[in-house]
Amino acid sequence: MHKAITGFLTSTRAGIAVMAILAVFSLLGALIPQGGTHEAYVQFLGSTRGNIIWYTGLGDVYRTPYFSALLVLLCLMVLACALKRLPGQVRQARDRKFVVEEARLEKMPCHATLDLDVDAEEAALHAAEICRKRLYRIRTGERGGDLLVFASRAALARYGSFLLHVSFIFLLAGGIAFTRLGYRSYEDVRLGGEFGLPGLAEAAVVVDDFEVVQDRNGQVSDYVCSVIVTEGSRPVLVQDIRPNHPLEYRGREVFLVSYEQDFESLQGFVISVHGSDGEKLVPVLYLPFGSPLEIPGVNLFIEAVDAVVPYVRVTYPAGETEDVRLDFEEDVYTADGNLGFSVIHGVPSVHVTLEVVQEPGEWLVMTGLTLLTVGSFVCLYLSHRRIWFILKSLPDRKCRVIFGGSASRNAAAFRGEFEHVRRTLDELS
Amino acid sequence: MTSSVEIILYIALPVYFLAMVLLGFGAVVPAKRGGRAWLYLFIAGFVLHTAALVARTVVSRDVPFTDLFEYCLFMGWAVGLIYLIFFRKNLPRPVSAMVVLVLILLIGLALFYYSDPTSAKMPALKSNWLYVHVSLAALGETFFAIAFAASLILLIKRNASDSAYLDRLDNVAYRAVSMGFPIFTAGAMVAGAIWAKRAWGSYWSWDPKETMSLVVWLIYAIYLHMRLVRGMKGVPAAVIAIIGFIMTLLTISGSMLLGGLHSYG
Repeated sequence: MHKAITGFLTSTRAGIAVMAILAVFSLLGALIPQGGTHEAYVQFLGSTRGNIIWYTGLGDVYRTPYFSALLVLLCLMVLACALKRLPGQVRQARDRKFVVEEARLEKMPCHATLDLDVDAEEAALHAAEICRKRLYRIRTGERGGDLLVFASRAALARYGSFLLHVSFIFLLAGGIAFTRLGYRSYEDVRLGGEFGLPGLAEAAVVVDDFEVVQDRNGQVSDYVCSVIVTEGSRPVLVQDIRPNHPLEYRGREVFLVSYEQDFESLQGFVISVHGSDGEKLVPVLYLPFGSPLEIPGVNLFIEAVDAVVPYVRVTYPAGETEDVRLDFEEDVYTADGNLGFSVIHGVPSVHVTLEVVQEPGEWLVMTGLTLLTVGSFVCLYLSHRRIWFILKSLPDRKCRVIFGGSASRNAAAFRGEFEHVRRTLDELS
Repeated sequence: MTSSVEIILYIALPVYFLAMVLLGFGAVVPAKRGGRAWLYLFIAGFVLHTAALVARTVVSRDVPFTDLFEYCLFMGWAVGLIYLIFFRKNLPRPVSAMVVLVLILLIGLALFYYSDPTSAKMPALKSNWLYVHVSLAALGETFFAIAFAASLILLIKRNASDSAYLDRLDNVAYRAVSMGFPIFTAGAMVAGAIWAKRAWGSYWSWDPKETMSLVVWLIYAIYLHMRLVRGMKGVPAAVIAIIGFIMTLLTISGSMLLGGLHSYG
């Protein structure tokens, strides 16, 4: 039983089948709108297709038990494969023994025999130098009067597939850590509103301001939400949140997801102010609720008030105040008739949607992503190349070099390199 | 009004097309003289293509891969560059012709999705991860395009008696996939996930484009497993490489149809 399970988990064919099934379900999930209701699928796709999608869970495929089971199964297979192959990979990567038999050299993918007009020691030095120039690590030795040279390069390549496979375990562990221990919520907040941070009883985030930045063509080029983090109502951090620049505070992150203007409720007015003779004192003035503004050139403060009936409170230099009811249709004046107001338009209030995330498994995911990148490059870009030389002394200070080598991948390139070594050595003959 | 970039591309297209015709003709009737005319035409087309890319960069004042038009334009250019650097000397003429055809299709796709260069870049795209994610994803897909060209010719000529020729095509496809896969992994999957975390608060959201990229990744992972572990070669490998690139093209243009977080391109 144990053998059968291990055999299944380490089977390449089964692994590829699981990957293919995952690819098919993922594709279906991308093509079928996700998260719809049963009625919506039936209405848009017809009764048969709608029911199939609903009852098979294809309308929310990534959250179905069978999709999760496939992901877990793939990770188990990846882990089983990695562990099964690891001992062999370690053995090959650490295999630095330079004692090989001539018969074994002749069975290698690349092998050659040369008779050289120099003694064995000089030829050994020369062979080592050629390989060292090509970034091989050299070991030398002696056996029964024969000199041995062993050249090895990029032994790390043997670990490439292991790193690649292990990365999935980290990614899955990161995903599980987030699902079990993490936190994600969406907060829809008006300007001035606040919300708490998970696990920090005293901490809150106050949405202080929001600005949509437009370019000269009137297109939205940026949007910025200013927030204040408070601890026990004491402000501890003021920061702007914008796309790609979340707030990070004590392991929690707050992202700006979207904004919406609420035309049903206003946050102020854009008005113009003029004198009794109609001359514009201020052509355009943004007057937010609750913020007294001084009118330039006139020693007066005005303040818009958010009420059922909108009005402007005018504060005169002596300190007395007057409330002037605004009218969207026509100009209104103060009691003495010296100051008039025209409403250009009301400024709608803004709701921002902020995403609050706490992700304890982040380091697992980052480790997994790093291993995935490094593993794929090591696996497919590096090739573990080894060349063994046996140098036998011949009479008259001559020698015979028998050598052979192999590479873990890209045999064609290795053949070219081996040929270069052979030709360079042959120049000594 | 037609922009300068479009005009340059409309000039480059027939130049590339002529290079492809000469390549295709040369594959049927080997020419002793003027055999390199296609190369000069290809280089001329590539120079024009580069000029279009530079012009777009100058006008938009940004890297040329912030929307679908620019992505296709850049990827087509990368196909030309990678072909000239790595594959020109090794590829049989029919494969070279197929590479040029893919390049022409990418320019056609770019022109189909042409966008105003002066429009503001979306706030979500203002990140240094854009350069890493998009450029590496496009570069990885470029290698898949070369693998597709070699595999398609292998499939067409599968009954040819010259097995060395078929082996050569098979090796080109494998080499291209093995070069492109790590780049695609680093760019589309890893850099994309890190940027998604930074921008949307989540490494993975099962967004249609994300998911289709995962499908592409799985297809090429299957290709490499079958090749490296089970020694698969020839027609079955070619079929997988072709499916992989068709899926790549669907992924590139799919976001326009399927929406989601990548709906801008």
